[in-house]
Amino acid sequence: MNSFTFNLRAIVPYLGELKMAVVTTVAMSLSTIVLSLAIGLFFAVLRQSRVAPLRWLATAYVEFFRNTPLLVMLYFAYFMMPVIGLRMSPFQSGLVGMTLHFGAYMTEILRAGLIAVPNGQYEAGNSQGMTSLQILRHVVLPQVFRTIYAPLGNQLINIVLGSSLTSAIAVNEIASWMQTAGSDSFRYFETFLIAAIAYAVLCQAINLTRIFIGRALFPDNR
Amino acid sequence: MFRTKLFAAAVALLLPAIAGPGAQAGEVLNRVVSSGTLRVAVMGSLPPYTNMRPDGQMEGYDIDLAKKLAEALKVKPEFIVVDSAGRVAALQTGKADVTISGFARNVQRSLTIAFSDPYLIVPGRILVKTDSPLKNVEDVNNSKYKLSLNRGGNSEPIIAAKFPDVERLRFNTNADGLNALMSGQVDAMAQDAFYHAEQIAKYPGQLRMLEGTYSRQEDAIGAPAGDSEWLRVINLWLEQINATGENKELFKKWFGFDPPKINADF
Repeated sequence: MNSFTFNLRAIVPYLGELKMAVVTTVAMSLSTIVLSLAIGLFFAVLRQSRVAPLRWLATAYVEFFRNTPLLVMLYFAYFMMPVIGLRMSPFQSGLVGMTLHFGAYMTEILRAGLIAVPNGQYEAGNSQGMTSLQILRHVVLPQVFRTIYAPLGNQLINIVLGSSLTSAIAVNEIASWMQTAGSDSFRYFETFLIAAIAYAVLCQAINLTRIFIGRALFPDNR
Repeated sequence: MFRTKLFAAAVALLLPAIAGPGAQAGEVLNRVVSSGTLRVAVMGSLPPYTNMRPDGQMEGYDIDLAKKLAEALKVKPEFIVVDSAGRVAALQTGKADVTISGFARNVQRSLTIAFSDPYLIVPGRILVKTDSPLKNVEDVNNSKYKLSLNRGGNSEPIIAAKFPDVERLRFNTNADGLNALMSGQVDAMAQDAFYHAEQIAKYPGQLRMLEGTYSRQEDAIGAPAGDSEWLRVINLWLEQINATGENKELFKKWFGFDPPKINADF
């Protein structure tokens, strides 16, 4: 006996909420990408610093956040921060947890890019009378981003998929929609399938955007 | 082109496996009687409804009910542990004959599986911290308050309709919803009265329930859709354990107090 009939039509009434959920997932992912890149760049430069305590600080950050689960960080930001008087909304807590977690990975990716820039490039910049900030901005970073552009793609997808964990702290994104619509309609298989497709499309869209931007930025980087 | 065809072929192969007619009248009933076993889908951990002991045996209010049903049918109960979603899937795929596991019935759900008459009425109530300014359930419906609730619970749409103005935050587990209340991220928590009673006992002096209820949830036995004969037997049995007071006794054994009235005041 088999009383299950696959019926995608049953999901139609829930598509309006799915639209809101997709918007939340995109907002969370894009904000995390921008912020974690900024944090990653900051700590990657710090890890190359000549001042030892700065290096230690950056290493401590990377090792702590890279070796703790994202879910724990999210719980920490949402449930524990109010204890010390810092009360953030679910979205804000999610963004903080995601940024700190993925910022650690970004640090390592960017550091790899920094290491790949030969010393001669710095010396050449120095000989032109550039300050170290100018060297970083005009000489080093363009080469760093060209080097890390491909591995960055993995990380962007990880961020989109990682955002599904924020449903645990009451963010109404796609994974949250999946549970809600599934249990309301009892159409779990259908909602799981739709959620999987939504994530696949989002990830692929972000990946393609990255590839096209890459072609414009680094035309000789094939 | 070839890929499209391959995909179509794969889908065509897959479809018969997941689509099929509902159960025939008498089909499940006959199987239970002739096989001598009643396969019951239960959640692994929903004390005091169901709970797995360290030795792997199941216990709880719903488990005792299932044993009584099997006894009345003169068959052996066999428990299949599922999660919340699996309570439906086990019936849809014919892996279980009934689901007895804190299963709230509603019209939307009854489109995919069948439900018996209710065996337990669960009042939905609101939990707050003792020092909260809130008094009645209705007071919660205010945009300046935040309310935690279980994501995907039967009560989710009910709460949305009853409290449209309050900011509703959805969590995956009761523990997370309670954490949110304890850490001040929300002002109130929506759950059933039995859950609240347990928390109030666990955190003496810190929590209280608001006056009034927001919902009347009917817990029922789930069965595969299509077999009305099977449902007829289950309903007769339910009527009898209610009439004899056995159901009330079982509830008292596991919850420690009398169950709410089963018949609604229309």
